[in-house]
Amino acid sequence: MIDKVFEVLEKTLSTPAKEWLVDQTNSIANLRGTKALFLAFSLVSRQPNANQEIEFDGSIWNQEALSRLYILLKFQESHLADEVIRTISLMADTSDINEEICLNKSYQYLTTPEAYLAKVRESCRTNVVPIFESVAHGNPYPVRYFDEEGWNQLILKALFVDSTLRPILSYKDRFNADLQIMLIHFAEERMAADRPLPADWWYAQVDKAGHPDVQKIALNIHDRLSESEKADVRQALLAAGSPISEELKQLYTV
Amino acid sequence: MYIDPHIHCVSRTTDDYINMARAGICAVIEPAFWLGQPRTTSGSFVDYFSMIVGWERFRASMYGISHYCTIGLNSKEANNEKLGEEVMEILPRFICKEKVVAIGEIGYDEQTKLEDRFYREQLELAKELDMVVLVHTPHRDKKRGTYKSMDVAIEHGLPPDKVIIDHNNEETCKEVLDRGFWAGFTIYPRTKMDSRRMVEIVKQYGPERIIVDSSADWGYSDPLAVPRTAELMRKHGISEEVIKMVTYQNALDAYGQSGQFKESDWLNAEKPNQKNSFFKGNGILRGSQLEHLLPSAEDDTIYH
Ligand SMILES: [Zn+2]
Repeated sequence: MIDKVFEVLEKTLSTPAKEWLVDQTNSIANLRGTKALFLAFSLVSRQPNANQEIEFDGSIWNQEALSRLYILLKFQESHLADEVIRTISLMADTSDINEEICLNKSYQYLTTPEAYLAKVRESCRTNVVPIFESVAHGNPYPVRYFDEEGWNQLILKALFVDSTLRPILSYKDRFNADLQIMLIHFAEERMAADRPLPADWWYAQVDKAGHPDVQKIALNIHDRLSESEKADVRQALLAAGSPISEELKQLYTV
Repeated sequence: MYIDPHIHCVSRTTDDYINMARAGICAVIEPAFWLGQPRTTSGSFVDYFSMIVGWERFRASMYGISHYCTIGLNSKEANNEKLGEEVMEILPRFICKEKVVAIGEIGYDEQTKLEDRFYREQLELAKELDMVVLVHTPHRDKKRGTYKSMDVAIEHGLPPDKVIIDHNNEETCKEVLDRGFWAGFTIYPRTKMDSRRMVEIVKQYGPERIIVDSSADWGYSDPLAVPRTAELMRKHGISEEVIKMVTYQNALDAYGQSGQFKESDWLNAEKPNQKNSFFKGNGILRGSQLEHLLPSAEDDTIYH
């Protein structure tokens, strides 16, 4: 993995930037203590073209984040496993926003991704949407390491912060009865407050829109919906794996 | 457009942010300081530093204000030796993060041995990392404390143009300017330096290297001190060019040396709204629309 990361970086980094990175990682590997690591991890953001986008392992990173992943991997290579976990957890505790985003995308490439589960769950409680989405979107971490409780909270939070569910990996596979109850309660609360449902609420039902309470919601909410929202409901009803009422079929021309 | 280069936002309310945005403050610098009472563990520092590099920055962004900070061990808490040593260990985890524009505010409170020790250690760190330094000058025995702050900074090889000496008054500013340091002036609503005296200082010394700030915190203080002082200068016939220097440009030039404080950050920033803001849904806006919170043409009159 470490060679793969460096190979990609090599293609975009300028020669001085590459030398800087190699220099820093050498210090990290050879010096005692963590000062070199912490400084280098922050200082990456002060390098030229830090925001330059780079594709890596099928997703979009930037020069800054990928350099940080490289630093983490070099640190891991030269230190004992428990020291790596302790130190990277410490970094997560004091990360700024871009650092936290990078860590969330990086854990999957470390030797013990599950050691950072609590950190990742913490990132899912934030209201800072880019941090939340660094876990939720295009990241295999939740599907691999979250239990059902963590998974369901992730989905609910995505709807709460008006994020989209579509880039969540394996959303459909991890749909469960408890999640559906939470979704239904959430919708009922919103409707009682006369607030619209999040855009992806119907998508969230996967093929389970035949649930009686979901049908009830579809019936009650019909008058308030725009045409495109009605299309979302229709889509969900069409996908339903269990029967839906005649009334609903007529209402949404299913 | 104004910059308030010294304000402790963690102690301010959302109303303050709204009023600041309306009054034209587009960027603020939050120096790390004490919280009105001494911290007892270094963990409190960790959380505090994390807050000012992270959450507070995004809280400010909700109101269209670009937020920066300085990181350092303040003079008051430097008197707790064990804590001071622990904080010195923590500093490398923070000082090079994005939008950290200086080491500060550091310096003297009672000018004790321990304050001196940690001031010097942090000056060394600033030199090693080529950072700007924000110096808090003591409120008691001010003149000697201010001179000593400068002597020690020079002794450690810091170039004066990378050091901001803050909380000046009529007694200290000539020496600070003569020695080539930046001179910060904190406008306090009642005591110490007020807007009226600030007008006189600018008349007497001109605008070069003079920086006006509010140092608003948890005490009785005014987060609108910078725009208010600018307004008073206008009334007294001070030119727009001079006003801009002391309430905007000099702060930008001084802290801009860090490479972390760029005008483009706020000039190109999109107006905050539900779509681009980092805090959606259950965030601090709690579903309210931001539009009515933002400065509008009619609000221009609030200072007149
Ligand atoms: Zn202060």
